[in-house]
Amino acid sequence: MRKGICCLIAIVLLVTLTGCQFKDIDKRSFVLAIGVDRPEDPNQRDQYEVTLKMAIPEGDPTKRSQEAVIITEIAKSVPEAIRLIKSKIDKEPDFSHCKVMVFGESFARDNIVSMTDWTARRRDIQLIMYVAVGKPSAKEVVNMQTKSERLPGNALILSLGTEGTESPFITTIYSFDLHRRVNERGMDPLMPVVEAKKPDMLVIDKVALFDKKKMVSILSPDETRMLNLLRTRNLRTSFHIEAEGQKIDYNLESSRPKYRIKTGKNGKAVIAYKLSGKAMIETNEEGAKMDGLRMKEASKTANKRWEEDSMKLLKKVQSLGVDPFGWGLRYTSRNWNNNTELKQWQQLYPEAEFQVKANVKIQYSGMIR
Amino acid sequence: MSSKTKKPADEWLAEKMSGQVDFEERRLGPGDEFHVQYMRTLTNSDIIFRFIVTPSYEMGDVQAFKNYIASFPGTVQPKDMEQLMEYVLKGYVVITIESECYLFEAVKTETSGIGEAINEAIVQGPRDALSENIELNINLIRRRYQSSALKIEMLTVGNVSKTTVAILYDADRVDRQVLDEMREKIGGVKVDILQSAGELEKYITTQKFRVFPTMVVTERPDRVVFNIAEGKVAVLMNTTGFAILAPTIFTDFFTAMDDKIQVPLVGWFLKVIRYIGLFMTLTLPGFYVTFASYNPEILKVQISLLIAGSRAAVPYPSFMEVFLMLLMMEFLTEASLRLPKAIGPTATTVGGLILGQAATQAGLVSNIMIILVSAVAISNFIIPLSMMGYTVRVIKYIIVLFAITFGLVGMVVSVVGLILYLSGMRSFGRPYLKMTLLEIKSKGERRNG
Repeated sequence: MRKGICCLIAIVLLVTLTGCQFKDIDKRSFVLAIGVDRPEDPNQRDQYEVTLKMAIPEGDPTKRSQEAVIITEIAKSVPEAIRLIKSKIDKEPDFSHCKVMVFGESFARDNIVSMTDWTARRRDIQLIMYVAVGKPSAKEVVNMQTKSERLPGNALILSLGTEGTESPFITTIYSFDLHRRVNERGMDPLMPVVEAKKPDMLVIDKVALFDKKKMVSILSPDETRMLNLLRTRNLRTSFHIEAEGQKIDYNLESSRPKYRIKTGKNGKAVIAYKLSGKAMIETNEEGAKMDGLRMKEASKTANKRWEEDSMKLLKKVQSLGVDPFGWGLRYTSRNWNNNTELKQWQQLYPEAEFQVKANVKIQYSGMIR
Repeated sequence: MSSKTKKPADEWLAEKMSGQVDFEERRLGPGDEFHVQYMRTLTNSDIIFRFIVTPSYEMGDVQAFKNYIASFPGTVQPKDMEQLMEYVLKGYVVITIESECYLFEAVKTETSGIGEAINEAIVQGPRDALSENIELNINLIRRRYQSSALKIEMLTVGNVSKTTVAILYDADRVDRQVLDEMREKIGGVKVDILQSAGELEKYITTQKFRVFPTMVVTERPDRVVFNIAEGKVAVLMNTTGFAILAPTIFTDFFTAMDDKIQVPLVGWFLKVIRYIGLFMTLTLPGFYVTFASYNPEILKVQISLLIAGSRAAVPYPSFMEVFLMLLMMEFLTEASLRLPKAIGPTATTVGGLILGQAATQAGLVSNIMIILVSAVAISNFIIPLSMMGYTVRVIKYIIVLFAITFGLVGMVVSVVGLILYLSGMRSFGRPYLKMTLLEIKSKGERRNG
């Protein structure tokens, strides 16, 4: 008897765990990308313009003519806009496969916090969603239907992640990472910038830097690549150098950034980077024979270029007053006293100095050591 | 014995058997000195003619014939009337000479001979299957297990059928507790008719409600021998071509005799494949319901859209589709199993064509569902022993039910519950869900299950 009651209670408790109610997959329309803008109409500047790209699966899966349904709605808040969209479509929008969220440039320059909060709170939006800044607006980026795309929104998903193209100019940022960067002290958000280029192309080669709330700057493609080199390991890229009159392109096979925050002589913080890498010559324009000496020369030039470029970038980042690398977090974690470490860093950072030591080894195929 | 009873044995027997069609009574010898009685259907007429009829006329001398009959190793003198009756019904010939009774062995056995194992077919290795004759079966096993430690105990079960049951074990390796339990249980079986090993298995299990088989029923003598060598007890039965092996652990049902023959790597691979098959056949229908109705976010977006697309034309919810197709598949399996070989292929063709092709074209079920159902059916057939296969066929419906009501949580709960249930099971006091083979321990350090 008691056993039976226990079983019954267990089952009743289980029912509450089910979460999403029983709804067949063909009664849902999967939202694959969300775009958020500020409306162009100046009277509605404080409202939200939400664009949803939804996949409507066709009856015959072999045809692959999967059409996208794009609905845009303006409302006072994002949830409100979504409720309004729900009444425009026959199937229940399902956010569980939403993989991309695009912030319109105008929106990003204003305040992104409300959106990062919303995505983190909603249970059905996965935190592995990619985030990006859309140019000229999120609506146009989301609307863009590239030719290579067989699944609605797939072009965005593939290019923003590392699943498809692996461009050195694309910075992959996930929603959880963005949320963390917004909330964590000593670390600032950054997002790739997606440009819609008519008629059917998406260009992603820049990165937008944010202070805690809004976008402060967009880096150039070269700066973006340098940023990625300083942020990630084994960046797949190539660099062009001109050493002693010969033009060489080298392909990076492995790379590794390392940094330490030291205290300098005059009490200033010194952020010392060490960049190491292995590279292979990809083109040699003059066709000159490579030997050990030229190789060393090429490596030296490459090192110099890295050091100069990264120095410029780091200085720029510092002058913007943002911290996409998380130096502040590193500093506070090494110098904590539960009280003043963050303040210390805030005082130190604008005055901080940088050091970069690059060590890239260039080789060429067929070289015998 | 005839001195104790009032009536002579032959007259008593004639009276008892008066109504039987196949009861034969003859007087033989030059002067009708020998009274011969037997059951025509149970005896071998050739033997009777060669060893009784012909000599009875040739010898003439009563004493010489009496000695001659008594000299046969199979000849016995009955102690009482009941024993006499028992022997007659076994196929012995009663020869009464000067009111002295002899039972002459002339048993006729109709057997199907040694056939090939059909239910547990293997690629390489011995092909013999157990026959329906217990003597022949013991012969098959003795030939493969030539050790004096192999002990055989004979019992009779069934008030009417009087089925001979043999308990076989290796006296050096057997688990005594299991053996005693087995003896006790078989001795305690009270039924009228016992005809198949499956029935006996049912009678000797103590649990009333079982989901999983706790004893292996096999038709392969090599499996019997292999298990006896492992210290298990085998039970053979007359009139059936199957043997029972106990105690059994879960993995035994996933061992084919092929595994021993193959290269170890291949053997392991096959075993792993079987467990994957088990997992698939159990969970695939449940997962389909879960993914199609509760948690589509688990799959990749492409697959989700594929399922959604193929389900677009289907008019009813996912679980109806699953139940419909699973039931159709069960019907198909059962139909092709019971049909005579000549029409069997028709059933599969018609079923396969109509269910597979037409049902999707008509939009009654989704393409994915057809693939899934065939995957479930095929992975079910991977399980080498059909008893476990049947159990698994039933259990997947329970998992589907959980998936329908609770989604993914239900799937997890039902699989965990299944494992818990299996861990709680015992086969003859030994843990059932033990993933390694039973180890043979010396008598002292044996654990209690």
